[in-house]
Amino acid sequence: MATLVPNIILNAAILGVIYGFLGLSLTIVYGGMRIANLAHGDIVVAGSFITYALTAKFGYSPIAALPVAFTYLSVLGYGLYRIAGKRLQNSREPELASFLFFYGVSLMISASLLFVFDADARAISFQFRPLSFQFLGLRVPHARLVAAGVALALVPVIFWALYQTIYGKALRGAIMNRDALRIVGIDIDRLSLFAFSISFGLAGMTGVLIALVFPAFSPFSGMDYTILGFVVIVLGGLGSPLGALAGGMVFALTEQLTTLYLGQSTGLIAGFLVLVAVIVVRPAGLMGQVEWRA
Amino acid sequence: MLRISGVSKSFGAIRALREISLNIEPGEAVGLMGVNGAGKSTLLNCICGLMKPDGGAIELDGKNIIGMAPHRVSMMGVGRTFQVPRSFRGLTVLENLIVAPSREADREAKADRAHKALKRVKLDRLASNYAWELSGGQQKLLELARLIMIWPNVVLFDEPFAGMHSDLCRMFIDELKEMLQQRVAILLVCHDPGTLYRLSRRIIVMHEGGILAEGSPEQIKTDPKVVDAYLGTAH
Repeated sequence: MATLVPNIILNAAILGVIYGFLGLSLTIVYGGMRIANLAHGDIVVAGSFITYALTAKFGYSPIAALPVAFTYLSVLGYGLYRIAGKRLQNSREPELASFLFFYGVSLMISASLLFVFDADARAISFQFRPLSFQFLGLRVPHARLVAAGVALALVPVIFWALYQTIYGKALRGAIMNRDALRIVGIDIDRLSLFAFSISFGLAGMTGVLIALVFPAFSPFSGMDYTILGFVVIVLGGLGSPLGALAGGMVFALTEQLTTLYLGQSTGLIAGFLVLVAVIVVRPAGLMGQVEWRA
Repeated sequence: MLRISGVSKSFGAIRALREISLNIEPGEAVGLMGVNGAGKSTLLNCICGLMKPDGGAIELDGKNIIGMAPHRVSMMGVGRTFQVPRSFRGLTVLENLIVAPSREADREAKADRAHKALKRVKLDRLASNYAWELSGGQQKLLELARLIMIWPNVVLFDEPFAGMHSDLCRMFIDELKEMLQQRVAILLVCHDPGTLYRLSRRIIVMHEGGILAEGSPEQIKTDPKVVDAYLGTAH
């Protein structure tokens, strides 16, 4: 028991980074464009299946799936925005319209995965050597460490892009006030196209990390990740990239520690109870107020 | 410079703008007044591209800008402010300025221009503060500095002095006069007739989406239609 709690906390922290990554990719589109991408989880799962295909069929390392998933799914995002993004944003109820549109996209992606990979749950066959590392009495699976390392290496890059580049600042500006951005000369349509492609690409990379961390995934797992993504960004504060990371961490720690002390079935319940508590106490979310203060 | 002819806009059965026509020349400030719901902000939204009129023409230097995206209208030199300032609250004061495209080729020149714009409105000390830390009046000055960044030819001010401290108002008015000297055309929406009379040689009074009266401050003050519909009593 002496090392169990630190082990759980360490593994929860790894999960938290990945949940945060999931939320980060979602908040770029939802926060900035008010497009509720209900297919986000299915894009994540598509990333997991790309990893599966590359490792099982071609024997590549899962790391090789990162650029492939990013590229393929960015192109999908680009195409979908070209087809519907502008119309959805200009509709009177962009959230409702996008909700319905992406529900359809979600069904199409999961049906396509079902068609190609069948209904069975899959896992990647690739094994890192050694299987796990031990230090200070803590034991971490190698694959989880790789997933966390990739996420921790990518997060600073994403934050640099969001907080230091003009495009990133403009994207955050879109989260804060779209009209103001338009009247200072920024082409919001082009910016949205860019954001949409990046969001889809990052969701695909999240899928690669999830394939490394979780034992299995199936074409039906998408909605679980969509819900998880929305929980994380609401918990952290809509439109706040930092909040997405904080939300992911809080949710994972709550879920894992509750599972340890109260049993497997209570983990998710506790996570959602924390969400409700945060909404009651801080409706803007954990970090929402920092960027949204009225 | 800016020519508006026969512009109309409806929201369902409500006619927000009825055949509005007006011209503004370089270096001229035209005042726009009217009660709430008269159509002033809708007209500004149509000019800057946030709304598309149902009919009519809006020409900037002879080019019709109706249907043009707001960022393109902005790039042509049309800037505007809002009644409730629309800053990027989670960005710093300086970032609020440099986020906009500008004529400066490199980042340093752009940052330098942004610092100069902030200095003009006395916000340079707060360059590193977040926009949400500013008071309402300072947020309006931030919008003004953002306008300066886009080198405007035409500026649409929507209630710039509402809720502003008198010291900040004076600074704002000085900047407005400086813009006029630089031949910027200004359309100024203001509820306070006294301020409009001081700043504009020509006043347009809107009522129920149409133009009720147009003329010099002296003509407007004594126009019976305006007195009846807007002022209530002769000034």
